[in-house]
Amino acid sequence: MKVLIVNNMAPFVWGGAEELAVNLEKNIIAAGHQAEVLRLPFQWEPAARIPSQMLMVRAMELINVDHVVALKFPAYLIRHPKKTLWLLHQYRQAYDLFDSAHTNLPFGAEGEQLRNVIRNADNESLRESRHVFTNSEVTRQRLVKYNGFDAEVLLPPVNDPALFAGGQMGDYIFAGGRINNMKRQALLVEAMRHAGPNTRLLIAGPPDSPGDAAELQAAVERADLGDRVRLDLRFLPRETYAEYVRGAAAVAYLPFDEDSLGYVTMEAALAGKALITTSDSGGILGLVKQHETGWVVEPDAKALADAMSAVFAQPRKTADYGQAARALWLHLGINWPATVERLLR
Amino acid sequence: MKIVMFTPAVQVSAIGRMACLLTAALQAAGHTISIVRAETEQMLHETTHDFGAELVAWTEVARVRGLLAAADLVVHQIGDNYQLHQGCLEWLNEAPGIICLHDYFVGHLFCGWAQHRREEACTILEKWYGPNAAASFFQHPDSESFIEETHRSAPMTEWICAMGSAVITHSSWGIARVMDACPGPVRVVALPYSAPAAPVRHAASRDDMLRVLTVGHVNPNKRVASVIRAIGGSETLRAMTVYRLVGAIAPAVVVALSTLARNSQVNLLISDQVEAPTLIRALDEADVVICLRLPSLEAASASAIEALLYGKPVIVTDTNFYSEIPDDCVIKINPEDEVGALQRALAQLHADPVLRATLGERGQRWAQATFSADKYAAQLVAVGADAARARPVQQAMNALARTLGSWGGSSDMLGGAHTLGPLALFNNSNPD
Repeated sequence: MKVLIVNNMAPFVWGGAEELAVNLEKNIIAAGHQAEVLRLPFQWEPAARIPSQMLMVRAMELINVDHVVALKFPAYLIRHPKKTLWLLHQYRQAYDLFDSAHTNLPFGAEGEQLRNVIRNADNESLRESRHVFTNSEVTRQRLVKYNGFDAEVLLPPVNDPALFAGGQMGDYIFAGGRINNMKRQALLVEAMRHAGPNTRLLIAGPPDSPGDAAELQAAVERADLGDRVRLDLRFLPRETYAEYVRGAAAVAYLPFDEDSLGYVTMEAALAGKALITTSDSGGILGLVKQHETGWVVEPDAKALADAMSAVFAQPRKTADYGQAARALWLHLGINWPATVERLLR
Repeated sequence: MKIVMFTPAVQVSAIGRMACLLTAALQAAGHTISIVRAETEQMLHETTHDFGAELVAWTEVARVRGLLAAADLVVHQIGDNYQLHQGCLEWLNEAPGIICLHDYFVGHLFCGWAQHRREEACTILEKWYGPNAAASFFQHPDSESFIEETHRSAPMTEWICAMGSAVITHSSWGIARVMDACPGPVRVVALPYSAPAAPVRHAASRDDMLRVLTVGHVNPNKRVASVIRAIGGSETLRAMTVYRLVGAIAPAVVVALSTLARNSQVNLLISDQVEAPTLIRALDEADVVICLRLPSLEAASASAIEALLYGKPVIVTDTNFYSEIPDDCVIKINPEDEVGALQRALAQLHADPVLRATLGERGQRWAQATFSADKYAAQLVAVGADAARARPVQQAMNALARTLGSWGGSSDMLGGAHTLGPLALFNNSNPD
C-alpha cells in the first residue's frame, strides 16, 4: 500500500509533530508498505491569511496514493477517498483558545467568521474521513465538545525506545523540549531561587526564537544561578538529548495545557525518571500522578521549588516514582506496530 | 467560427445599427453569425436593421438553445435600456459571453430588470455599493434626479460586467469599474459606426445662416437649454442661427424649450424622432453638430461619431469619451464655462467657413480610420480567444469561492487582499 502522511510545515521549525511524522513513515515502511511525508507550509500570522492556505490545501489533488494519514490543521483538509485523521492539533485559536480570548483571530465579526470557516472546514474533513484518531484524551474531548465528533485515542509511541534504557540517577533535574513561553522554562529558573542548595537544573533544547533564549539567559544571570542552572539552548542531537534524560534525577516539563502526553514525559517515563509538572499542563497529567510517578504542583515558583528540592531530599522516593512512571508507560502498551495497524485498517 | 450575438435589432436602436455593421464585418471575415433579438416582447414585431443573418427572438427558447449548443462564441450588446436589452439579461446566466458595453451607466437597465425582483436587486446593490445604495436606489422621483444621484455612486457597471466572460467597451474613462468586476479579459475598442449613403457638403449653407443640429433623445444631459442660451446671448448668433433638434422629445420638454427659445429670440426647430432618411438629410444640411453631454455616461457616442463620419464640425463637452477624441478633430467645451465657451465656438464657426470645412475634414479622416467595423470584428474574435484562455482560471476561482462559501466564508473574505493575494494565479485573470 502507498501511504502518504500529510503534515504541516513551518520552515525551519522542527518539533514533536515533525518527529512523529518521520517515525510514522519509518514504521509504516517497516510494516511492509510504501510511505512518504508531504509537508504543507502553514503560517498562522496574520490570521486573515489562514483561509487562503486552507483553500490551497483543499484544491490539491493526490494521485498514486492508496491511503492518507493526516495529522494537523490545515493539512488534514486535503481531499482523498481513503483518509485517516490522527489529530495532533486542530487550530485551537478557533476553539478553546477562542473561548478564553487567547486567540490570534481578530475581535468581532471578522474573527467570528474566521472561526466559523475553520470549524466548518474541520467538520467537513472529519465527515469525509474513514477513521478519526486523536493523540490524547484532551484532544478527543475537545473534538466532542466543539465539533460533535467522537474519536479513538491513539497515543503516539516513543520513536526510539532503545535510547532511553540503562540510565543512572544523576544530580540534576532535566527540562527538555522546545524553549518558549508556553513551555515555561523561565518558571523553572524562578523556582530554582527558592529550591534547596543542592538542587541543579539542566535546560536543553531549541529556542523558538533568539528572544526566547536571551530571556532565559538573562533570568539565570539575574538570579545569579549560573553555578546550579545549566543552559544548552540548541537543537540537540538525539543521542545527546537521550543522554541528558538517562543521566537525570528527575524530568520537569510544564507546558501550558498540552494536548498530549508529551514526548518529554513519555521518554522520561520510559527511562524510569520521576516526573514534575504543573496542574494546568493538560495531557501531561496522563503520566504524572501526584506522589505516584512524581509531583503535580500549582504553576507557582515556590510550589515547584518544593517539588524540585524533594527530588534530592528523598532520593529513594524519587527512584520509586521513576519506576512507577516506567511501569505506567509500559502498561499503556503503546508501540509502533500496533499503532500502524490501527491507522491503516 | 459560429457566433451568437444577443442584440437589439429594431431600427430605432443605434446599438442595433452598430451590431449590424459588426455582423457584416464578421461575415466578411468568414464567420457565421446568428442574431438573437434582445428587445422586449412588445417590440419584437417592429422592423429591424438588415443584418443579413439568421434572426431569432430571445423568447424562442428552444431555437436559442440550439444556436448556443453549436456556438463557438457568444456576444451580448449591452446598453442602458431595458426595453432594448431584456433578452440579454434573460440569457446572460445561461449563456455568458463577451459583453460589448455601450454605457458606463446602466441604472435604467437595472431598474427595468429589478421591477419584479426587488429583493434580489437590493442584495446586488448592497453587494456592490453598500446598504445606503440599496436603501435609496429606487427612491428617486424622476429620471434626472435618479441619474444625478446614482451615476457616480451606483452606476451598476459592475453588476453587468461581472456576468460577462469578457468585456469590450469603447472608451477608457469608466474602465476601472469594469476591471473590478469582470472576471475575464477587458479591452477598449473603438465603436464601429457608419455614415450611410449621403453626399457630404461641407459648405452646406446657401446663405450666411448657420444651421446647428443636435441629434438624439432630448434629455437634460444633452444641454439643449445651454445651447439656446448661448445662441440667445449673441446678437449675431440670434440673427444668423437655426438650431434644430432631431430625436424623441417629451411634450413637456417641447413646451419648456420652445418657451426658452422664444424668450431668447432663438430660431429653434423641433423635429421629434424621424426615419433614417430624414435624419441623414438633417445631418447633411447641418453646418455644425452639437453633441454636449453632462453628465456623460456613454462608453462612446454614436451621434458624435456619425457626425464626424459625415465630415461635420462637431462641438462636444470636454469630458469622458469626448475628451478622448483628438483635440484638433472637434471643439471641446469646458463644462464649467458651458454657455460662454459654446457661444464663442459658434461665433467662430459662423464667421469662418474655412475653419468649419477644415475641422470637418480632419474629424472625418480620423473617424474613418478609427471607428472601423473590421477592426472591431478582429478584436472581438481575439477577445473571445482570450476569454477561452481565462476560463480555467475563472472556474478555479469559482470552485474556491464555492468551497469557502460552504465553510461560511463571505465573498468579502475571498476577495480580500489576504486571501486573494496569496492565491496569486488570479492576478493574471485580466491579461490586458
